[in-house]
Amino acid sequence: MASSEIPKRFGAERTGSSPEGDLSKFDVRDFDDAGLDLPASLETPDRLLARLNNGGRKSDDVPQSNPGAALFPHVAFTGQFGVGKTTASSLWSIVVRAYADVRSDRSIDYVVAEPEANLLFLQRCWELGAPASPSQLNWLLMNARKNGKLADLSPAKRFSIAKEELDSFAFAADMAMRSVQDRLYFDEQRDASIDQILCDPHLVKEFDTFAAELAPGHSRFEYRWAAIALRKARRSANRSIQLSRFEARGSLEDVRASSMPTSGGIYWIQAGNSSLFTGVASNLRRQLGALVDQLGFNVAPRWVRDQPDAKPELRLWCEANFETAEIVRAGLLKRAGSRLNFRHGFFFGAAA
Amino acid sequence: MDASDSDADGDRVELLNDLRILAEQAIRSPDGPLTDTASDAVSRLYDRYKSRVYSFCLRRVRFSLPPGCLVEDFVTDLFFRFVRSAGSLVLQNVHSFSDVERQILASFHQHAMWQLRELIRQHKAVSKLVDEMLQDVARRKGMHRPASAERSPNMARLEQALAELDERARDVLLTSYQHLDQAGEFKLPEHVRTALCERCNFKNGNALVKFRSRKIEELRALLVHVA
Repeated sequence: MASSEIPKRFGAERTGSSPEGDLSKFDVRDFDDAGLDLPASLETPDRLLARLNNGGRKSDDVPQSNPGAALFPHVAFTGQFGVGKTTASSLWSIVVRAYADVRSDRSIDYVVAEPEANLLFLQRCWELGAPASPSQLNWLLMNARKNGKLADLSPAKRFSIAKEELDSFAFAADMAMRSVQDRLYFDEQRDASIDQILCDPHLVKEFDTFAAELAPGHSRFEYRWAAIALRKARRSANRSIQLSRFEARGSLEDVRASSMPTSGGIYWIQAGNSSLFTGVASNLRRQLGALVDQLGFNVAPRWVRDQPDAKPELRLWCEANFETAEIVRAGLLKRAGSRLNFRHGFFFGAAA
Repeated sequence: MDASDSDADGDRVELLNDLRILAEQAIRSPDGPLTDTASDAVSRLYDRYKSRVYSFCLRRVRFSLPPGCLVEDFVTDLFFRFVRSAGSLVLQNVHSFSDVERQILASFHQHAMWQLRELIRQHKAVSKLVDEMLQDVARRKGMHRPASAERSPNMARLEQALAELDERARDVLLTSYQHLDQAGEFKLPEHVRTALCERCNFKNGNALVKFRSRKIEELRALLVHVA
């Protein structure tokens, strides 16, 4: 019986809540082959044997050198069980080679964060035969240096965004990262680090969306790079701080922009007894101005579950040295927590 | 014991022996070439179950396969999967041939479920990647592009495929992909949709949507080689 002559009952299992329909129920009668004609391609086990003898590759796999080859052939084929059974070590070598091919002296963080560079890297990995998802490949890349896999590569060019520019959207990257973390925590009961979010294409898109809503007008790469810069800064050794050194400026909505210092420092926004947000700025007036312009005096983005029930109040700590300011912020976050800063390691904060 | 019982017992012993050979091969050298003994065992197993597995796939799998996937390929993959994992197959009861067969068929069924799930997931992932690349091309429409040597081969193929489409289809796709939202839905502003309908001679938005869906499927089928 040819495929086109299959009785209608063959399609009966089409419905079902799962993508694979009602396949979960085993019924030996489904294997009844009475009256069935096999297609010619299945008559002999040749294809199966060829594939088993070929390390899992299909004989009709399109060679990579063919310019008309299909897109992502390895993703399409290797999702099936055990194809090639690529070991972790071969994945490492593929990731390192792909990175070396596409990096153009750019750092790992850059290749992960920059959408075009990342796409090139992933495509190169798949072209080299990596049977892994984008998040797995990015994660391996992120960990390549720690595992000593990049010793042979020349040092990457340094890249940074000017701190003056970061002032206008660093807070958005911080809050957007926390928004994704909160969404994952409340909806999926998962904790995710900045690296995990940046490596996962779906999560990083979510992050981009949040960040663009909080401070529109910047590229996806800028938001991601701001998050990376924050992550690096947050690794600073924290130290105990004297909260009394923060100068109280009263309710945020009563503070006049002209009274704000244009120097660098740390600002701490509290609502009642809870710490809302802590930011480091190279120019306090500019960053706070951008923050209030985008979020209003309430500060919390509209999607935050527990909106502050008291008027946010502002405290400042002027500190010209950026590194010192980051250390102070790390100490403050450890001590007071935060409802809107991203969570990093132990900074889950009592008030958060 | 009559003749049929004796045959069944012979089949049972042969089948168990084949499974043992495949298990040894799967454990000892899963990626390596088959030994002659293992090749014979695979051939016997394949001949014994090919039509039943095919029948099962026609009944239960065919309609859930992603576009472009053939049942015949699914069957071969399923056998491949079964042979590769023979080392982990544990038979609970081997006293009768029918019991052994039932457990083997249940194993095929289980693998089919996993394989289909994986296939659907992979197909979605690949489609999504193609979407992202199309979105990227659409956003860079009219902008400077890096020299071809700097672009990835996949992106070059995609652009080549786009160039081979007719002007109308290309316009619809590139304009639409400029307005693809995070959920993967096209959210064309009213004025853009109206202008596109006028430009490409569509009577209404529905005609545009149908045309676009058809062209996207054609492009994916052209680019995504799903066996």
